[in-house]
Amino acid sequence: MINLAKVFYKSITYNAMKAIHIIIYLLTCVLIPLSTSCSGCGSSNGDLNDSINAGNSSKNANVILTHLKQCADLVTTEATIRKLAIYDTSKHEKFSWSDISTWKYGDRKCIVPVDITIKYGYDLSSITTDNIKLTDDSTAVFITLPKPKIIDAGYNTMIKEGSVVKMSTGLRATIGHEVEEEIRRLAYEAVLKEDLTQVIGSDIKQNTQILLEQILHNVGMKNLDVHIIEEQPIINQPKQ
Amino acid sequence: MGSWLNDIRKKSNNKIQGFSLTKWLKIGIAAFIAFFVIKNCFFQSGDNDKITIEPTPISIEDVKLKGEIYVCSALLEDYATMRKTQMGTFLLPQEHSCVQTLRQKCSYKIELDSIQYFPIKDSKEIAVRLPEPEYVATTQSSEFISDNEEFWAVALKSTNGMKLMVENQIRQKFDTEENRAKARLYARSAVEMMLDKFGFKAVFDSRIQSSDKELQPKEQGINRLNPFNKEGK
Repeated sequence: MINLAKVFYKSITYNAMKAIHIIIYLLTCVLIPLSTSCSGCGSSNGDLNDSINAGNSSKNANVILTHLKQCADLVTTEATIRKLAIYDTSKHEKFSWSDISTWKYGDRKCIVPVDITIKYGYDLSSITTDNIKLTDDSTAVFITLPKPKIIDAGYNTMIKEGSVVKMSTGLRATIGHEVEEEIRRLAYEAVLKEDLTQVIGSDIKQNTQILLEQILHNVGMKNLDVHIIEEQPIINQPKQ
Repeated sequence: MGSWLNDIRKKSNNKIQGFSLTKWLKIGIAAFIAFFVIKNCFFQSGDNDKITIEPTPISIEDVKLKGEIYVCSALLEDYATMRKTQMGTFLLPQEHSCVQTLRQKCSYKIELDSIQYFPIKDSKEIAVRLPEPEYVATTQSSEFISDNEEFWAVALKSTNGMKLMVENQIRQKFDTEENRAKARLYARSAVEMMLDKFGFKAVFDSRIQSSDKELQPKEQGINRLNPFNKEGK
């Protein structure tokens, strides 16, 4: 009788073990691929339906960040700039045993050319009548202008097919539109941080001179020489 | 009866010795941990955070002379969304969505070349004809957000279509008759301000500012405003 009970006990244990075996099998074979496909690593078998929607303005989807600017800006120079934005994880990602997030097998690389247009000029309200001096014989005018500022800047949003190079090695995720847009934004910000007036300052000055000469010519002041004087920045003297 | 029981006992003993419960549990837990470590370390963590670009030189391609007045500027943001359903594992439909946002600086532009001046003789007044303000927009920021980067990289070849859609939405919102009227007003005051600095007074005539079709011959405006002008003689 005791032997019989032992055999029953063992067979029950065996069945329980079998059940656990099946559960583990289910977890590894069914749930893992499911969770993987949900998180983005699964293969796409086919698209069923697609739809595109615009932002709904009636629900205050748009945010006007600034109100209409009342003052006017005079643009005298337009600079077209090209920057190659290079994203390469092998150059800036470092491996550390203590940080799991650095345990990445493979690299991601992306090269995006970004065309940026910057317009330089002056805020018209910043120029006062004191800045314009006409000579006694009315043959020349001296205009003192502040440092030119960026009136408008932006980058091309439309991406030319084939102009972007993307590659992923090892187990790294492929580079999608999100990363590409982020790279372009970073390149644009990097260009805006640079003070290009040091490089093209003379061109801006010359263009401003030509433009003002044209305006004065159009209003009837034909034989007038225009001279641009750069406004000197005010240096605060240390108090003694 | 006894031999039958002995057979079962032997078989069960063998199987239980081969696969113990704890062994299976350990294998299962280890598989789970390994899966999540691989998934988190290699596929997700840090792949999209903190993107750093390499320092590269800036090349100035072109520097052009421009004569433009920008008025009525504003910063606007809008978006467009897209949904796609795909057949997932075990033919379960999975819905994916993405959002394309754009931030644009919208303004009205007036080209100085197309402003017409008609100096009035023996006075410091100048009659001015302003062109119609032109809508311009430049992109300050463009962002693409999605639930599954890999899926959208394959499913959506280019985001240009979505961007175009957002650009049009922004234009519809900004380029209204009300804003155009404001732009005309601001442009007038800008030209007034500019001429005032040179010691002139701008005169705007409603007929002069009307479309070119109405006042096709340039001489008409000149004669009417400045009868003493050379062309008017």
